[in-house]
Amino acid sequence: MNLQLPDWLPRSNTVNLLAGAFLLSALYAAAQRRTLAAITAYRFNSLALGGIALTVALATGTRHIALAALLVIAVKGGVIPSLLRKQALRGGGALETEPYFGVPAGMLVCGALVVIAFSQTRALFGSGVSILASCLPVSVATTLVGMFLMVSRKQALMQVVGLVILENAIFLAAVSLTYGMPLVVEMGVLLDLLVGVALLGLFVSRIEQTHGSGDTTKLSDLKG
Amino acid sequence: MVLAGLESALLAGSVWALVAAFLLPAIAALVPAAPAALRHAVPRALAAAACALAAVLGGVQLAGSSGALLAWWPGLPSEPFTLAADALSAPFVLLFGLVGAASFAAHAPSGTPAGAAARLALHAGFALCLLCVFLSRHALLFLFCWEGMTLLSAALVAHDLRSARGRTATYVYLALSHRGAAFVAYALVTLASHAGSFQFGALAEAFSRLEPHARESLAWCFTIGFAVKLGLVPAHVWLPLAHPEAPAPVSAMLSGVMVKAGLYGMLRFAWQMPGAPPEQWGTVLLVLGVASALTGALYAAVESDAKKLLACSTIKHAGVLALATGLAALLAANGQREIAGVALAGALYHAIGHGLAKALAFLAVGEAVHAAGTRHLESLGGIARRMPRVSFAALVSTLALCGLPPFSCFAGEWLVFQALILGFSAGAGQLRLLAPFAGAGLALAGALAVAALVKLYGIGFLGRPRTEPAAAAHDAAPRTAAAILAFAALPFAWGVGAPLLAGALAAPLAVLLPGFEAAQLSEHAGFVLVPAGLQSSRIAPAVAALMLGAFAVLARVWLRARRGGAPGLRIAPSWACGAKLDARMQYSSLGFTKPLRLIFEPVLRGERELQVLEEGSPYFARKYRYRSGLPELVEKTLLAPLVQSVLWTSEQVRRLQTGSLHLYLAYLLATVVGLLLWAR
Repeated sequence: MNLQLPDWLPRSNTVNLLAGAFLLSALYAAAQRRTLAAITAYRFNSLALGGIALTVALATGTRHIALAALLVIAVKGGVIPSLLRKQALRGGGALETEPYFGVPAGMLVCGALVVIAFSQTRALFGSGVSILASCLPVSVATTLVGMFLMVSRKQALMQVVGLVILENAIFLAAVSLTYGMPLVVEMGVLLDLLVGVALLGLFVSRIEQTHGSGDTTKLSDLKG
Repeated sequence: MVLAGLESALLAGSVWALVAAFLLPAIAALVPAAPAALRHAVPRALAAAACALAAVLGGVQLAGSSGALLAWWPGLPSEPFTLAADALSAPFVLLFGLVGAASFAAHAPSGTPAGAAARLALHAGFALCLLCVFLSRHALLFLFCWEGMTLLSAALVAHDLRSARGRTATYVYLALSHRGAAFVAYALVTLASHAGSFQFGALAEAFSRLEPHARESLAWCFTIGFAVKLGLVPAHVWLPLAHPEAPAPVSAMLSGVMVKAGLYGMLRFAWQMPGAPPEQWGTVLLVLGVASALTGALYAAVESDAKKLLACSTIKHAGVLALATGLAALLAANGQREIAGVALAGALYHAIGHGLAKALAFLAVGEAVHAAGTRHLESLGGIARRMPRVSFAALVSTLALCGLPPFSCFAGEWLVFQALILGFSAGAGQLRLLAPFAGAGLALAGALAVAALVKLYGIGFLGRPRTEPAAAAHDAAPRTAAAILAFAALPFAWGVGAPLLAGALAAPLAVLLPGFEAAQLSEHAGFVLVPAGLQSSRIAPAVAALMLGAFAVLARVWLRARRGGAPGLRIAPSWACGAKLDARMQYSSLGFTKPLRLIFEPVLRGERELQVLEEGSPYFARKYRYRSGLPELVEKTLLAPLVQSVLWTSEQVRRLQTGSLHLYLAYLLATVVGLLLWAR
């Protein structure tokens, strides 16, 4: 990747700031017991992601990344969170009553995951590959945090939030390693995600109808 | 030129007729207006004719002719599937043809018309696969046919869906056969990837180019895979379970021919490949052969299920085949080609001889137990009077299986014994140690087999019927009985003609042991059998047959003269001290084998259980239940723990699968973190 970057970008901490916001919003979601707050955290997570992509687009002057960034802001920062929010409101008390981990314990685990992600990514890829070098460990850490969110929560909707945060992290990894994929791929992924979230919302409401709550531990009753 | 044309016609005829016999019943079942003959009579006749053609093909090939080829392009991006008979497969094709023709001729419809048609179609399909296993010159086609042979015969073993015994047998059969097939498939595919081709010729060439240790491991893979089919200890467990469950004509093909496919595979892939067989191959086969022969004969002797007894006897004979092959390999490695040739000729001759005799035994005994409605010897008896023709065939087959002179198993076993004795006196090192044990083991196995077969005929066919159904048995349908009787001539011919026919094995022997002259096996214009060029001993089966015949005639004349000469001779019931005699008081199968079971108790480890069901007075209970059984030693000590451990492991693995979504997600997270940590 031999691009002429404007010289202000490496010196400014814009990307680092946005990456920090990205990781922190994910951690904030993991620290929440209320689904609505987690969805808001996801919204900020997506906006931070869009910001990073936009910065990259500005820095490299590639138009399709800018388009993708705008799409991310619109779909992931707008449509998907409001869909999830609507679902959460319909479910009524979307409160995580008995999580597998309490908030402090969960935070400890998340901290450990972040440390593992940073140390291992540094060891694997070295530092200073590109201006986005700080983004790769962040994205790996956010992937793990998103996964942890899915593991530790019983509410189906919280698991969906974990999944979409995980997806954001993978998008960030793609941007930080390759300065964005072709536009067609980005659009395809976004469409996939939108349809996936709509379907997941459908499933969540089915689960709530069947079991009287969105508690996925009750799904093991279905096992023969 | 004429011969080649004839041969390709025979090849195409037999294969396509079997394909037609396989498809016809199915097509006829789909078309309601099809005449009933199309469902059974026509396909059966077609299949029998196809087998007869295959027998002629084998014979022509043995007589020496250039190989005709049947190629078929399956649409795969490689070479065509090719079928051809060559010198090595010729004896097996001959055996297949002879047994197959008898088997289809004796195949009688039973049960519902649809069921009978399905059975016939499966039978024909099985025969087709079996024939193509021998004829195939393409590794992929070989594997297809090998699998097809296993699957179709398993379907025939499971033909009685209500029988729990049949289901168990099918399960064990499939489980073990697929283990064996996996070894064969691995070895063939590895070889093919080295060769870049599936043709056997290319495979052999690739084999010679391999590193010695790779060559050895491949040869062992082949050996293990084919040993399962041959039924060698400890992979013999499936054989006495599966063979008796199939209908009699199919059992005849299973025991008579399919088992020999294991020998064929070993000879072709572990022996004939350049640079094979590996070191110690002969020793291992020799030891396994002795163990199998002893195990088979011992379990045959104590078995009281007529068809199972025959299946156990198949293990014994498979052991003899393995022993002879291993002996030949050892001798050939020592450079004693002449004696090796004797052993190998014994193996090939015995393969066919046993195939014919065992097929006849299954056909005749199967017919008898079908008529009597039970396979249990303790419930049979008196069949000889009620089914004279079938019983005569059964007598011929039991005499042949005992290895008595004018019948088919004698010559092969005799050659093996000769090779053992000669190999001992001329052999070096290892063989000097092994040969005495092998000879003694083989002799013991032979004696036990005689006891088993005497029991089969004596308890099952002679005497008086022990149960009502046995008393009501009547002779088989004329066509079936005629087919069985006609087939009974073959073991006799194969025995009497041994000196002449052993020479016919010249072509396969020359392929396996270049430079060995099979003509040395006979003397005096094919009248006397000698172990090639070694003047130690010789035998003329025809003379033995003549002497036995003369003795039988003389005895008969003498008896008749005596009976006629004794005035006032009357036939009356025997005196039994005033007690009322009952058919159940006859010598029983259990009683007959009691001494054997006592002698071999440490090996057999019979299980007995006495249970008091109802207490009466303090000294005499009113009702007992006595149960005794002889669980297979290998099954109990080797396979059962294996199965148990697999089940236990599965149970532990099952704990991973709790059905909890979160646990599955946690596995995912743990894997990712673990990979991250490990990737450093």
